[in-house]
Amino acid sequence: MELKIKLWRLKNTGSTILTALGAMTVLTLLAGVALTRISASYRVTFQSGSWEEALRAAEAGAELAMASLNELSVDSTTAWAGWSAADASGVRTRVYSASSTPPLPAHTGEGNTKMYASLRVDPITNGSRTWYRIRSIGTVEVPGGRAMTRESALKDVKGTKNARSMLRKITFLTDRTGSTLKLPQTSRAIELVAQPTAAPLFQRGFTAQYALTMSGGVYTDSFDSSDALKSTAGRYDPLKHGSKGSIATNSIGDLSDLGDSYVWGSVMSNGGAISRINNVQGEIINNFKTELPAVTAPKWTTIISNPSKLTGVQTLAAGTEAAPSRYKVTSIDLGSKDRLTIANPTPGQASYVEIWCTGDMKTNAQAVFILQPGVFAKFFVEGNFSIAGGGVDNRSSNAANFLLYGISPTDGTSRQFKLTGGADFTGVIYCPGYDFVSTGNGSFQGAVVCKTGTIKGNAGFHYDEALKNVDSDAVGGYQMDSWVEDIR
Amino acid sequence: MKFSISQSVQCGAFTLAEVLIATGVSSTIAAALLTGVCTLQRSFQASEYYAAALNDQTRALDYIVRDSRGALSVQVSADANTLTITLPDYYSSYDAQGNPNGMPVTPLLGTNTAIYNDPGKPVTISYFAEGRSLMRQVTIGRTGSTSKAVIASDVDNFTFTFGAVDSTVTASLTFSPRFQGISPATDQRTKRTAVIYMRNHKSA
Repeated sequence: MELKIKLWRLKNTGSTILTALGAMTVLTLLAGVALTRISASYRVTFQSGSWEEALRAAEAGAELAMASLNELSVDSTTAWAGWSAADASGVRTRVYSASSTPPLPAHTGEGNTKMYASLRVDPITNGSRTWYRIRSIGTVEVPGGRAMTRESALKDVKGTKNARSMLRKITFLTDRTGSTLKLPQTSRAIELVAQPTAAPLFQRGFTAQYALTMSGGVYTDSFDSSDALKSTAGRYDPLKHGSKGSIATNSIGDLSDLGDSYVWGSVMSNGGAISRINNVQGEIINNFKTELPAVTAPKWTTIISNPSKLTGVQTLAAGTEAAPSRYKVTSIDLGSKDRLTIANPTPGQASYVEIWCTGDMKTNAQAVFILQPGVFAKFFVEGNFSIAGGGVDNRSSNAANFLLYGISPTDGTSRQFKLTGGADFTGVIYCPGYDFVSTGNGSFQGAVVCKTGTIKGNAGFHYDEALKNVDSDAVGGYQMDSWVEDIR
Repeated sequence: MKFSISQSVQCGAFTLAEVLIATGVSSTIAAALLTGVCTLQRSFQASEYYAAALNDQTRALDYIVRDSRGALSVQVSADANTLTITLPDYYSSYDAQGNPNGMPVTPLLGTNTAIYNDPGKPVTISYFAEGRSLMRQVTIGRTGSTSKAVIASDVDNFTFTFGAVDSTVTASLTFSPRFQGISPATDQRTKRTAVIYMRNHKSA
């Protein structure tokens, strides 16, 4: 009997252990299933995030290539520093990483921490100009293990799976060259075509690199000097005004304040939010970004050096489009009794003049500065501008006939562009290195590109929509013409 | 022997009351377990749906963002449920699903723009809901071939909203979780919006 009791006790003990083991097994299986499901979702996050970062790396690489291209017009000897020497076809290559100079952005913390951009830049001849094609491949590592996620392949309309998904492509074991990978990686490739900036730069009324401030009764709208329905005799007509007087800042919007001025057009910033925009009649866009190439000093081989400066009473003759008259002067200073005339030797036809001023350009409101009808004038100024609107008489009544370029300082300092007076001003201002200040009350017809912009008073800024087709071959550098992602 | 008989009686049977009590307790425990398992199962399924919907949402937005980024132009239907994107014809050839299987072509340079293949016959991609699926339809203008693919299934409770303003495209996808006791505000927390700047847009 003693033996029987012991057996009965042993039997009970064994059942408890088995039950516990069984329960643990079931719970472990449940936990395993749950963990497997969670891991799949977890990997989706990493793989999707890394795939997005690969594009960021490719875009960053392309921007660095664009920077080298734009450096060409400033100093061609240093523009390609760090790149391979050009081969027989002119192709250059480079790989950027977090340790390069300049570096790609470093990514720390959870997820991928390494990114690379492999670049290839090749020239393409287009007539007398050289364009460039930039191919940038952004590559990043993909944490989360060598396993696909719950991602299924694409299905066609009948529910049949296609052979491959055309979205995220992750390589787990070997890269495209066949080399073994330590970690999975993903790549994205983009192709940009960059063209010389003999391209429209004036696509909106006002563009500032940094802060833009408006106050008083100032407002913006648009007209089209080439369209009789949108202008009268090529000039702004309030009864025909348009709503393309857009303004933009290439920086975070928080730097700018529109003072609730009326803007008949869109307002754009590169992130952030612009203050006091209650009277904007168009869209508010906060992912704006554009290239504002620097203006470099002309590299003319033929220069008219007499007169050496423009002051007093003088008349300059314009030339032809193929051979414009090119003057180089040390300053332009038109006082109240001075008179400068840019004469058109072929009335009824277009004529062209280009003036390079190594000092300041000043025109007094009582000065007489005449651009005869048909004259297309370009001014390249290295110093400061001080323009009284009434001092410039653009008799073509067309902004495209009077272009003012402020040469970008190479030492990083700022220049000033002051526009004052109560009379109208018709012209185009491209000064990406200048602080633009307008205090006049007259009508401005044209477009402005500047470093910072301050507009006070009651001036109406009327963007001439015809300017969007005006070339600006005076500006060195390149801008993106097309952007394609290679999704193979 | 007496000891042995006594043991045998104690182990051999239960009284009716004991059986009833045991049955009641067991039933209660079983019912609680069943309820718990069912609740757990429903919760698991809702979580699974949430994860799958989030995955579909991410994939669909990734597709739309990728295609819109390189768009030459976009069109949004009046009901904001269909997005039509026009892209450069960048490749020499495509397979039956509209996926490129050829090499990128070298662009021809016009006066002021780069041109891929015939600019009058671009590639067109449309996104729209069909039944319970989000479709991506690709039309190769050069060959005229059209193909449709499902990029997200089970999207009957997804909401699509597209918008195009000047140089940007906005795409919003919202799905309704299947958790019990959710409020409309919970739906809004599953809304994801992408604002895409079109790189090839020419004027602002």
